[in-house]
Amino acid sequence: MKKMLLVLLLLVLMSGSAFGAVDVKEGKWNSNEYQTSSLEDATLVVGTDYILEYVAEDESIPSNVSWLIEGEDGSQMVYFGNPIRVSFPTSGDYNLTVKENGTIVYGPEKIVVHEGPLGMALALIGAGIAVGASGMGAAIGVGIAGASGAAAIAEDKNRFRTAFIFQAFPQTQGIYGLLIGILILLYTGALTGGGLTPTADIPVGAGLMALGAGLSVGIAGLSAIGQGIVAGTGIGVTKKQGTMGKAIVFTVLPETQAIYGLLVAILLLQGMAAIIKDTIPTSYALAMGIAAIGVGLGMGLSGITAIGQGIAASSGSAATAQNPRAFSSSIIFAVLPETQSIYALLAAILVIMNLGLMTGVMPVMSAYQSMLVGIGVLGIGFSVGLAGISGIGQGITAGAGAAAYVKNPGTRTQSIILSVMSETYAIFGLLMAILIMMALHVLGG
Amino acid sequence: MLFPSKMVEVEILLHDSVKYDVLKTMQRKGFMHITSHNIEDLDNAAPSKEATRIVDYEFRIGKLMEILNLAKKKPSGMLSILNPPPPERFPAEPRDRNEILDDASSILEELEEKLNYIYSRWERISSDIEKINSQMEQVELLKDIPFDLSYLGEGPYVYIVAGAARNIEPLLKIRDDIALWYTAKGKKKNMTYILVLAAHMKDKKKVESALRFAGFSEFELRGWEGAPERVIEKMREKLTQLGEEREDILKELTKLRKKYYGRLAVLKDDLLNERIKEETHPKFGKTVYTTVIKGFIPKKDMDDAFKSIERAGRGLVSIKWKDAEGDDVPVKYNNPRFLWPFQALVDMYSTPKYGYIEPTVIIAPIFIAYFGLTLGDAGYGFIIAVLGYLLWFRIGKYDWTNRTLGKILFVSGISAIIFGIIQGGIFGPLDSNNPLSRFISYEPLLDPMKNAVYLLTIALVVGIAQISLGLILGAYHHLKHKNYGDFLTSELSWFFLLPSGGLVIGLMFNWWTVESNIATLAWIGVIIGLVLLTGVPGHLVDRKSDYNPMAFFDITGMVGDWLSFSRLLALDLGTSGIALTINLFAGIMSGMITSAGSMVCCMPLIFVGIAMLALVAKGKDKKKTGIALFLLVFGLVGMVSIQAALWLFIGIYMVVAHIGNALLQSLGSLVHSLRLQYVEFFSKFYEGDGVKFMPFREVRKNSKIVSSGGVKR
Repeated sequence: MKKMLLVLLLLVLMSGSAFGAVDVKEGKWNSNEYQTSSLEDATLVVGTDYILEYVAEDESIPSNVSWLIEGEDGSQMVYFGNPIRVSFPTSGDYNLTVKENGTIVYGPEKIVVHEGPLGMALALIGAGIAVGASGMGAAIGVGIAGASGAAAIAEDKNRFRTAFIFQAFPQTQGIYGLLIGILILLYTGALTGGGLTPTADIPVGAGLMALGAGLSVGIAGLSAIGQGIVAGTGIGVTKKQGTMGKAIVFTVLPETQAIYGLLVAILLLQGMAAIIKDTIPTSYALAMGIAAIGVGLGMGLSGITAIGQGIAASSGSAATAQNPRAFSSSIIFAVLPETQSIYALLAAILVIMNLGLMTGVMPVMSAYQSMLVGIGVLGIGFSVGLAGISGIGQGITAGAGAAAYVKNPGTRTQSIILSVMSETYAIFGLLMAILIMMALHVLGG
Repeated sequence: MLFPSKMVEVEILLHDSVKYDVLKTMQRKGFMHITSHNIEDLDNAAPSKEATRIVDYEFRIGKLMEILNLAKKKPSGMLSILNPPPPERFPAEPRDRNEILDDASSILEELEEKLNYIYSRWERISSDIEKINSQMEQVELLKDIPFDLSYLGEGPYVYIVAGAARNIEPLLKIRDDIALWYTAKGKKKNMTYILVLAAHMKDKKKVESALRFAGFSEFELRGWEGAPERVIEKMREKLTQLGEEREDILKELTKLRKKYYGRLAVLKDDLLNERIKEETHPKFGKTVYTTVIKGFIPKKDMDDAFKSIERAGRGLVSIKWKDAEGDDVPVKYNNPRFLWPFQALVDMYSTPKYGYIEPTVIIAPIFIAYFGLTLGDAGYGFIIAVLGYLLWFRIGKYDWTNRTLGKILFVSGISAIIFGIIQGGIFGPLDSNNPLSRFISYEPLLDPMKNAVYLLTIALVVGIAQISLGLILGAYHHLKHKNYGDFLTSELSWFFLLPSGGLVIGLMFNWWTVESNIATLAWIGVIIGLVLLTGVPGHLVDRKSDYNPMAFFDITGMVGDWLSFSRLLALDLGTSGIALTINLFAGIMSGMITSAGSMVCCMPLIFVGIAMLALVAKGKDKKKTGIALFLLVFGLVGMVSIQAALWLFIGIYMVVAHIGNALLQSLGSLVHSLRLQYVEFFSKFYEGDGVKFMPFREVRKNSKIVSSGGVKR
């Protein structure tokens, strides 16, 4: 019986929690002041500097103290001294053990480290870009179409309804942007009571994913400018009876880029949801978030090619109104400048699929390697995105080609050859993107 | 079904004595597409000497019908759109030209002078009413300056004018020389001065100059006597009198319309058909006594057509025919009735060439399926199906365009309902934000938000399948027309490249592994495909087949065509996502209702107040009255219960937003589904720029033949 009591006492002594406490000193949220609280009451977040201080049971502060912080993934951080300055690299659960002169005096105690507000802040920026940039494009497009509508009603007041219908087309991009903005707020919980707080457990990787989605749908929303150009022409040509259906087909063409932007944004949001659900490891998620920005930039920037498509489709719409038999050829000319955004979509899908951005089924690589890959994907985005803007040049030639066809139908093949010349640079962009993918082992790896 | 109707090329030689009877029969039957004769050394036939008389009569009778139509009662109100009256079609009997012309001459003699007189009276009265209404507005403005309007004008000594000026200063400067009465109307920046000015005739030029600087516009009120209020009374009396006169005219026109309109309508159509006969003449070849008519007849109608022509020609007709071939052969669609609406989709792109594939039967089901997939919401599908039903059976009851659109929308709506049920979308995903989820709850087969990758795969598989079908159809064209070179370059190359290229790319990127001999075969396939794509083998086989310097762009173009099908998924997600957002906002608003009571307690009172004011001030404006009534109802509900008013607002918001989204997304689904056919599918095989079959036939807009002597229309 005595032996049992002795063992029990020894166990209590070894547990150590009774020997003292750990205080945490940290900056107050939304304030310049510092506050001190016990470790049990503190809210710890990733990347913040904390001062941990062991206070013995007799309220003295011993100096010969060692600290062991063990992560869920088996990582260990060891510190000596009292107090110490600590920063947690990733969120999750940690075990803290404090020893004084080699004897455990505190712990092992489970501490929870939250993601902090950065991920949420990035996601909110993504939502802002999605709505802001696409709204800008939509407004310019609607403005261009509206100006044409004003001219049409000055001539004939009864054409208001037609003008109103065509003016509605470039508004879609703004709606797509709003949709992605709302989905970001919904997925991050910002819409349902969550917000920019230390405990907003949105990993930075998820925030970056949202930023990528915002860039994709937002910048691709500038395609509304091209759509506005062709909608304006549509208002003009529908003065002639029987042209409405064809003019609508031409007007809808430059929306394709916005649809691709929306598609990529939604795919990236799936990845964001996977990160939030903890199905992707934190270090890998951060890298993939950076990659998502590359993907979003590529898709978004290439969407600007819709301005070229708008010019070509506008010319095609006018040509068809002049000669309805020119419809099929004008459609061919009008879709030529769309190719650039298809290259960006191809690059985006390859990156998303091969890096497991949506599914969390990722290739085997270290955290450092994954970070390099993520940064490298930015190069892919710039390559296909910026080169994709070549579609504007192609659109100008294609538009002239559509007009030339009406004047002389024999020029069709030559005009197509002249039009595709500008596409060469987009092909260079795609080629470079594929080479970067191979260098990063995203392809062929 | 997959090809247009077979045609025969026909050449009819007939004696001029039977020409009219043959043309009449041909026009009744409507079986022949007439073309220019193109026979060397043969003159074109000229219209007959009666042509001018026909055109003249047709124009004059049309004018009489227009006058009589002033008395036609037009349906009004919103519901009349849903229940349009049938078009007036009067019974007609086949008549000879002489009968038609005699009848036209007789009715014009009987009616023209009388109706023209009535119309001139009608125009004078209408013009007087318009003028008095405009003058009345001016006199209303002069009410504050009591004077006798008969003083206006010039006398030997005095010059008096009334009107409106934008600036009074130039007139005030010469105030010592004139007598001026004025009142100001409007706000500061947009002030108008209503004035009456009297001056001595010697100062007239000076006054006119000042009036120009004042931006003066004169009221033309000469002929009226008395003070403004008295003049307004007189004007009202005059308007009543004119209105009565107009009513009398309408009554007279109604009587005349009842008596003569049917006869005029039949004559108008008869004369139109006679004119069509005359206008076709320049296409005929002409010798001294004979006429040559060339054209095309559907092969299945050939026997009946020849019998009819021979019967009408009484032995003075010779017919030659052969199977038609070439690019100028007209195309008559050959589809079952249920596919007719979709022919319009093919025709909108370009009429197919004769002898080539006419793809209505292929694109109709694909288009319907794509529409359903891209809309993917049963609620929205229901809205579109109802809209389609209304266009089909109500609005488009007597209108071909609306009826055709209605049929397409109805089946497309049904497709969207089916896909919506599969994808679990009924006015948005059936999640917690959707109010319908309280009543309907099930696990969808394919949730687009959860199975985006799977749906993307489906979209791309569908894409490659449709592109492959296009290539197969293109190969069929080239092989049928023995263009072996083009077959090698345009289709066979892809039959090698698509499977082997896909396999090789997968191997290069480590997506899959295969046995080495299969990999070798794939590489060989790629090389063969690339060589074929350059056009060199094609040119060697057939010199008419060109090299393909754009081979590289063809590869990128093919990738583009394939990826373009990803829009099927994107549009689906777009519809679903926006519907979700609408529901989400409604949810947020409903969450605010419990705390809204104190915030907006005074809003109903404000709404009621605004509504009452608007109803008093703008009682005659229907739109503003409607808005005011809505505010009144909304406000009254709010006064009883603020929560009820907010629920009402949320309900209205959801109905308006979902209908708006359904219409917007349906337009997107419609056009993008169509675009996938036009751009990605047709580019692989379609040969357009064909000639549409336009038979020489009777056109009757106002009448219908009731005793056609065997004519089947």
